[in-house]
Parts: sequence; C-alpha cells; structure tokens
Amino acid sequence: MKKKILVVDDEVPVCKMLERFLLKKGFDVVTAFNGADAIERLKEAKPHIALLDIRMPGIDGIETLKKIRELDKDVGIIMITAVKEDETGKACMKLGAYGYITKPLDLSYLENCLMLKLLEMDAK
Amino acid sequence: MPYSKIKALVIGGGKAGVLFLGLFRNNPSVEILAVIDIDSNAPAIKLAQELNIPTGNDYKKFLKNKELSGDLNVIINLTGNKGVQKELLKFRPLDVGVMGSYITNLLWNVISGHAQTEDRLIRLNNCFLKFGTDPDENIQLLVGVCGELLQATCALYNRLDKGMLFSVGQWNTPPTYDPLTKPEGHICFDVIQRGGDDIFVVRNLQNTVYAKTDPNVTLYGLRTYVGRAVKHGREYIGSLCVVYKEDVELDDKGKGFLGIIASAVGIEEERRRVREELESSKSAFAEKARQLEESLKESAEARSVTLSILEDTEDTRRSLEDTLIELKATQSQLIHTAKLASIGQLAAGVAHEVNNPLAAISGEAQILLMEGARDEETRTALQTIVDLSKRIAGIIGGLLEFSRRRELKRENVSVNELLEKGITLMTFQPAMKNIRTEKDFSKTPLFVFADANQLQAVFVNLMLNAVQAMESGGVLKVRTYVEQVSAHGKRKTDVLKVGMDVVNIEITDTGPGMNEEVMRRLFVPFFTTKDKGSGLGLAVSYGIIESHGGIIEAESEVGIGSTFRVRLPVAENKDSNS
Repeated sequence: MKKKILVVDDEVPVCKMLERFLLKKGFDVVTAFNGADAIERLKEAKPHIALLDIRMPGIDGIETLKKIRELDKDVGIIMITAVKEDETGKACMKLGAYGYITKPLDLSYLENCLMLKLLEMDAK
Repeated sequence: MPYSKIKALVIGGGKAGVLFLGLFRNNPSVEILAVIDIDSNAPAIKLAQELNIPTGNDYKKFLKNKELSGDLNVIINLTGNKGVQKELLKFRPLDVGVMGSYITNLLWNVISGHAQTEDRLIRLNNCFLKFGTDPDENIQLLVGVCGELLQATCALYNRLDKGMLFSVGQWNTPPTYDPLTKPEGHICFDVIQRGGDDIFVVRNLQNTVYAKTDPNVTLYGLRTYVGRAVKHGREYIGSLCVVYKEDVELDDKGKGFLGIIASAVGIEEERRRVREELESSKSAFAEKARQLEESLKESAEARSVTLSILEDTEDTRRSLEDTLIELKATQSQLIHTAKLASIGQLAAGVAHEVNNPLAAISGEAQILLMEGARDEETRTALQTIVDLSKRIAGIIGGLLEFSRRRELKRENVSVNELLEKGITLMTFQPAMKNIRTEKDFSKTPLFVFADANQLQAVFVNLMLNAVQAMESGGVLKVRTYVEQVSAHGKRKTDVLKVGMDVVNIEITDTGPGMNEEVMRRLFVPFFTTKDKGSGLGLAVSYGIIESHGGIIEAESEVGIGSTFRVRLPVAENKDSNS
C-alpha cells in the first residue's frame, strides 16, 4: 500500500516542489495551504505522515499540530520551518511531532526521516 | 589848689575791707594809711600786708599814735558795728571825718551786689554743670535757678508749640497749675508776640487787663510779672518769667540775670531744634536705613527664596536631568530592545521570506539531480544551485542567530562536558576525517556560570573554525585548565582581574594561521576569510562570552596555526546540579 503524506504549507512553490518530490518517491500526496484545510484533508485522506509548515496564516502550524494530534494519535508529524527556533522545535516535539526540519530542505534527509517513521509504523 | 590825696584809715578787715582796698588801692586820690582789724587773719589785713599797707589790730592805738595817724583825713568804718562807730566818734581827731554806715551800706550794697552776682554766677555755673543732653531738662534747671536766685514766687518758661502754650520749665508752681493752656490772654503770650530782648515788667497785675485775661493772675494772686522773650533761630518761641505775689521791683542786676537765663534758655531751644532736626533726620535716616534694610531683607529673602527656589529648581533640574538621563537610557534600551525585537522580527521575516523561495529553488534542483541522466555540466549547475542555496541559508541563519535575544538560562555548567559534546558534533564534519583530536582537559571538572546552549554554540563555532582551517588535515587540540590571574604578565584584562580564578578553554589548530590584518578584524561582524562563511560566528561568540563576564583571545602564527582561548570566571558555587 502506498503511504500517504499530507503536505501543509502556505508557500505554494514549496508545497508543489514537495509534492513532486514525494510523488517521484512513490508516495501518495495530499496538500493543503493552511491549517484549516489541513484538518479537513487529514480527516478525508487519513495520511500516514503530515509535513506541517509552522508559519502559516490563520491557524499556524503549532495549532494545527495540536488539532491533528487530537484527531489522530498515530499520524507521524514532521514540522518544517523557514525560521529555525530551537525552543519551537522542542515544543513541537513535546506536542507530538517527531521531526523538526528547516528550509531549505535537504530532500534526502527528509526522505530518510519519512522512511524511518514509516518503518516504525509498519513494525507496530 | 593842688589836689591832695585823701588819707584814710580802714577799720574792718572783712569783705568790705577787701573790697575797699580793691576799689581804692590804685586810686590816686586815696591813700590808705592802714587797715585795722582785731583779727590779724582777716582777709583785708592780709591783702593790706600784700599791698604793703600798714595793718594793726587796735584802732585806738593807731589813733593815739600821731606819727601814724597825723595826716589822717577820714576813718572808714567798715565793721558795721555801731559800738565801734560811737567809739570812733569819741576818739577821732577833730578834723578827721568818720564814714560809717553810709559808706558801709554802700559798700555792703556793692559787696552784696557783687556777692550776690558772684553767688548767682556760681549757682548759674553749677546749674550749667548739671546740664544733660535733654534741652527740656536743662530748661527746667534754668527756670529753677532763675526762680531761686530772683527770689520769685514762681518761675516759668512757656513755649509756644502748635498753637498751645506749654510750660516746659516750672519752678515753685502750685500743684493745680496747668502747664498746657491756650495762649490767648496770657502775659507770656504777649511777651512772645512782642519779642525783643528787653525785659517785660508788669506790676500790680491785679489792676491790669491781665487780671481778666490771664487766669493765673487771679488764681494765684500774682502781683508782679517780669519776663523776657526767648528766641528760637529767628523766631520768638517762648518766654521766661518770674512772678511774685508781692509788688517787687527787680533791680537791673536781677533783670540782667533774667536776661542771661533767657539767653541760656534760648540756647537750649536752639539745641532742641537742632536735636529735633537731627532726630527727624536721624529717624528719617533710620527710616531710610530701615527701609533699606527691609528691602535688603526682602531682597535677601527674595534672594534666599530665589536661591532656595533656584536650589529647588537646581535640585529639580538635577533630578529632572537624572530622570531624563534615566529616561534616555531606558528609551535607548527600549529602542534597542525594540530594535532588537524588530531586528529579531526582521531577521525572522527575512529568514522566512528568503528560506521559502530557497526551499523551492533548492528542492527543484535536488529533484532534477535525483532524476539523474543529465550531462555533467547540467548536474554541476544543479549542484551549484543546491550548494549555494545552503550557503544563503547559512547566512540567513547566522543573521537570525545574531539578532536573537534569547533568554539566558544560566547555571553551573561543566566546561569539559560541553566540550566533549562539541567534539562529538565535530565528528560529523567531513574534514574531521583527516584531523586528529587531542584532549587536554583539567583533571577536575571546571564549572562556569553560563547558559549551556550559548557556551556550547561558542565552543562549536571555535572548533568548527579550527576544523575548517585544516582542510587538508591537522591536529585539533582542546585544552582546559584553571589559573589565577596574576599581577604579572599579560593575563589580566579589564574584565578578568588580578586574583580571580579563571577557566581557560583553548582550541588550537595546525592550520595556516592568521596574519595581523586578519587578527585585527577577527571579531568584527560579517568579517570572514571563508567562502562559505557568514562572518557572524566569532562576533556572536565574542558577544556571548563577553556577556558571561569572560573574554576570547586569539593567538596565531602564520604557517603554524592558531589558538583561540575562551576565558571565563570560575563558578562560585561548585554545585554541578543547579
């Protein structure tokens, strides 16, 4: 079964680029450009992993993280940010994200992160 | 017929004798043959002896002695003794006259006049001696002596003042006497109005118009008035008078005396006037002085008030100044903070705005590279895009770091531990493949009071620099030790004072070293010798260490290598679990 990845980022080029990458890597991709849409997509698509951008208009990434966690305890969440802030990273980890990566993204690193989590999920 | 002297015998050696001698001794018409007195110490006897006039104590003897009394023309009996007179008339030679009571009386009058005058003058003199500074008191004394010596019933000095007659001086006036009266009808008033220096005499007052007009006449039964006007400058201001209940004819001498005293009163009035003027000018002066003093006081008060206001103002100004300085400091701090906050925000904003497009750029390039099957040129180009994107990110990251004001969480941290972690991080650096690490840590843990993250960042930065300086390999040496700052040598700084215990962390590389120019600009923000460097690392590190009360030093030798030394004060409390 193809693994589903939800990509949430208000930056459309970034979102598109990630979508392209993930598709090439054999994932199913669902995108959202804001937090509210992200929740909706999550409910619909039930992705395995969500990539959440932190700085977004409306509901920001962290709120989205909380909401997602409320809805789905299992989905793996990686936070992505353009502004590296260690405190924020730690906070996100505590809120249930398992990764915190910064832009510009190292795509092979991202791939590794995804694979690790999916392997872990498969193992359960 | 040729004029011949009268030869006289003087009997009586008392005052009359003295007077006689005085009067006639130089008189060419009179020759005093002798002066006789029972008392050989009588004054005239003594005077006669001085004048080489023969003296004796027994007139009978003298008369019997024809030698002595042969030429005698007249006997002057000055004894005033009727018995002696009788005897003389018996004993005198026939052709010798005896001048007794008449001449004696005459002489007595003269004498008594003299004596009286003398007495008066003495008493007047005594009166003057009693004078004080108060003219009215002196006038009183004068009026008194006037009344006494003229043997008056009463004596008065009336001054005309502000339309009223006031008895400045009164002597022997009855208790009912009113010193202050309206002048009209009073004799003294007439005297004043008449003026002049002559003596004004009114006798038989009861029969004059004054009996009706001057109440004192009938009140006190006055019969004689003798008075004189007293001058005050050019004006007649008062009258000095003596009044008698009897009908008295004051002799010239008495009048003269009154005149003298009136003049003396005049002098006192003058004095009084001068005094008044002086007083008024004194008081005017005093008033002026007082006013001046007042105004000085006021101005002094005003001045002191002003001064105190000024002082207050000065204080206020100073405190305002201080407040202003504080405010400015606060403001600049706030601005700084705001700036920093805004810089932080700005940096974050920049980071966001730059990193997002970069992510897209880099990501796309990475995807293209991933797809493979491109020519070498294209792949290189794509790789360049990816690499340089990372560099831009690094710069942005550095800026973000630099602008960030993080809450420091300071605690006692083990320097050695942090360095160990840093070294571990280094192992992931590709260049570390060719680099040997030498650890020379202190035997005992070294603690500093610091924010672990920040310190870690500094160590990593320094180690990274060292590693990056040794691209073709070398030795990374990390050494820690504690030392006490000594007075000698170059080890003391502004911050690290003599006697302080200081932790030293030395990171040494065997890279190419740095020349003077590089050394000079080491800690300047954005200064870098690297292609891939933001130039913020050392600047930020320096700031971090400085804020911890420490210092970063750099030593380098071109061709040999460089050492960076972080020096921090030893933590006071060596409790490692804060």
